[in-house]
Amino acid sequence: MQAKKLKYKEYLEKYKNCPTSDFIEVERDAFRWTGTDVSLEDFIPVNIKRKPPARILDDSDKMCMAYGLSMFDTLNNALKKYFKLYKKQRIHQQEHFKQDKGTKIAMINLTKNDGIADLPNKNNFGHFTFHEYKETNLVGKISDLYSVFKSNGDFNI
Amino acid sequence: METLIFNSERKLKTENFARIGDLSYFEGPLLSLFEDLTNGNFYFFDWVDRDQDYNRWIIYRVLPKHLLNFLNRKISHLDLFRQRPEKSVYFTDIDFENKGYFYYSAYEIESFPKNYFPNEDSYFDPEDCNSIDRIKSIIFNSFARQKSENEYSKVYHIHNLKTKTNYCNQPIGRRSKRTTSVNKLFKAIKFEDLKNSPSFDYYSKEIKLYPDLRNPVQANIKEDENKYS
Repeated sequence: MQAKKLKYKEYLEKYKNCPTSDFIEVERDAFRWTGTDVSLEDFIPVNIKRKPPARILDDSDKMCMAYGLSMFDTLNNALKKYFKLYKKQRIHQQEHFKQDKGTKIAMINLTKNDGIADLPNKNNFGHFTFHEYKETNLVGKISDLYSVFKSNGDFNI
Repeated sequence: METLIFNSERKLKTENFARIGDLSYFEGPLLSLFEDLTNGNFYFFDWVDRDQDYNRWIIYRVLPKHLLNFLNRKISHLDLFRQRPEKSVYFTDIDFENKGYFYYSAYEIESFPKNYFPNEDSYFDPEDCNSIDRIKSIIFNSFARQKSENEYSKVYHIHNLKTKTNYCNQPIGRRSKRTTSVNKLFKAIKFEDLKNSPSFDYYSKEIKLYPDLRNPVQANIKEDENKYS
């Protein structure tokens, strides 16, 4: 049996213990913010994306976690975190936020062959980080797609 | 991204800034606190804009007492911004190369855009902050340090006393660069007295708080040592 390799290994190797030993294979439903027309672009870690560039002030921001994917343990948590971050932004940044993070929430059933994750953070809306295996295609695993906003522009909470 | 009118002659030196922590963070910093090690002033790096090639940060000074009020949710982000002790607001655009904030110039904004003001209902949320204990500890230290104008200079003075045993014999001309009464106070303090004083541990720790200081900072501390000698 072939050893499973993580995507973006060349970046992860630059960090000591990356990902840390608390990252394990999981079988669970996961929820990730995506665009309306979901594509592979929606599953590129923030520090890999060039446009727009990652928010980095110094090397301490170039951390292991930023080469993984942000996910949430429940739909409600994914919505609440989106709502909270969105409301804190200035008006023009809210539009950027929609463009960058999308306005949909994809439900994905993660299996042990997809990658490794840490535990959902109860103090951060069940957020967890997921590192995909090299051959994983999460776009093909989306089972449902929810809208963040109602048709009248209100939040779908 | 907003087109800014700025003064290219008026730059903020950020090479002696030390990052204390992020007050708001998600997939990267959104609001970060820095300390200017040359004078102990606090500055915010506040993410305000982006296009496909740059992230834009505005940089402005904040007072420790206002910062504490902000952390205790007594005032909003907008209140904190309005209460800044210096009117000047600077900006820096950081590209995808992300070399580190100190590699990019920060210029004073001449006409501050309305849409860069923080939201009125935006308050500090401890859940967004990854280093609240460290931030509060450094703010409390700064209160102690800034009890009087002279206090902060002691950090440098301890360096002097450690390295220059004949400090009190320095030529008067070198000391007279500073116009405050700092030197008079220093002349009366011996290193042995300081070492035995309760403040010594605090100031020694203060110096060690920034183990990751870059070389230029060390160089500037040496320059500052000379200013006070």
